[in-house]
Amino acid sequence: MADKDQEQSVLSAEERDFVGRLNAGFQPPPLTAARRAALDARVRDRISEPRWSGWTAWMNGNGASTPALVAVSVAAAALLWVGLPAEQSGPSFAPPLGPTLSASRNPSSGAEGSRTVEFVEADGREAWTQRLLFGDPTNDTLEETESGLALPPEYAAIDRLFFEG
Amino acid sequence: MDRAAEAEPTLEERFEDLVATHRDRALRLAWRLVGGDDAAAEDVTQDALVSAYRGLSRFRGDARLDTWFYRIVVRQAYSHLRWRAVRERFGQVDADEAPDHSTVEGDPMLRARIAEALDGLPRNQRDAFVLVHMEGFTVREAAEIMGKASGTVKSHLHRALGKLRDRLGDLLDDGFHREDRGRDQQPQKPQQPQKQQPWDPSERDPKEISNGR
Repeated sequence: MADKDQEQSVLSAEERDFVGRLNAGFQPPPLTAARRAALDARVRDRISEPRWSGWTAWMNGNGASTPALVAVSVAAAALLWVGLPAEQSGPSFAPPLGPTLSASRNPSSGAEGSRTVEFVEADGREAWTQRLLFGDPTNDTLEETESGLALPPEYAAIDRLFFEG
Repeated sequence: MDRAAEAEPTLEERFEDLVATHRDRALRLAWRLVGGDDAAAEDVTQDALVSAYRGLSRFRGDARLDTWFYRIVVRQAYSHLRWRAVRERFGQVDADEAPDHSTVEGDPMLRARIAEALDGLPRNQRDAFVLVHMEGFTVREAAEIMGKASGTVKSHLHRALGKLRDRLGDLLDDGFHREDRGRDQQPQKPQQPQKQQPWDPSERDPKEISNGR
C-alpha cells in the first residue's frame, strides 16, 4: 500500500476532490444476484464446451453436416498447400490465397521443389485478423498515440483514402 | 491422507476461487474501461474468465494470479474497444448498440460525459487512471497489470488527470449538479477488492429456473 499512499499523497486536495467526483459520477450498476448467476452460467457453459464447438455449431446451423465440415477442412488444407509458392522453375498454377500483401520465397533455404516460404509482411487472413482484433503484442506504437483509439493500420489506410481524402 | 493432493488445489478449485474473488471487481473494471456499457462489460468479463480458465493450467506463478487475471481483463476490454472503433468507423454499429447511460442510477448526462472523456484518453492513460484512481489498485499493481514501470504509470496518471481536468474541470465548479454535490460531500474512494459471492458450478441459469426446466 506504500505506493498507493505515495500516489495519493501526490494529489492535491482539489485533485482528490475531482477524482472523487469522477468516481461518484461513474459508478457501475450493482451486480444483482440474478446477473451474477447468469454470468456464471454463461461462463460455465463456455468452459464446458469444446473450444471450436461455437464455430462448428455455426456451420451446422447453416446447413453443414459433420462429414461436410471434414471435407471442407481437408479441401482447405490441400488448397493451402497447393497455394503456397514452391521453389520450382516451372510456373505455379495455384491461385493466390487471401489478402496476402507481400510474401517472398526464401531462395537460400530448401532444396528445389521444397515449399519453404518466408513471409515478410502480411502473413494471411488469420494473422491479419488477429492483429486487427488484438493488436501486435510486440509493438506498442499504436497504443502510444495521442488519439483516443488508433485504428489498426489497414483500416487507417482505408480511412485516409476514402474518408479524409 | 495424501498431503500433496491436499496442498495442491485442482484447476477447478483454483478457477472457482478466482471467479468468487475477482468476478465482481473484474466486471466493474471492464464497465469503466468500455465506457459504461453493461452488455459489453459482461462480454469482456465473460471472455476474460474463459481465457483465464483455459490459461490457468499454464500459469506458472511468475506474477500474482490476480494481476495476471486483471491483465487479461484489460486486454479483452481493449480488444473490444478496437473492434467497436472499427465497426463504428465503417458504419456497422447500430444506434441501439451504444451504451445506454440512462439505465443506471445517478446522472446519465454526467456519466456520459465522463465516459466520453475517458474514451478520449490514450489507452495507457485511461487504463492507469481507471486502475488506480477508480478501482483502487496500487501503482505497483497497475504497473504489473499494464506491463509498464511504476514511473511510467505515474506519468500516465499525471497526464490523464490533467486532460480529464481540462475536459471535466467544471465538476469542481458550480456547474456540478446540485443533487450530486449534496449526495457526495465526501469524495468517493476507489473500491477495494473484497471476497465476492462464491462461484457455484452447479448453479443453474435463472432463466432455466424461471422456465421451470
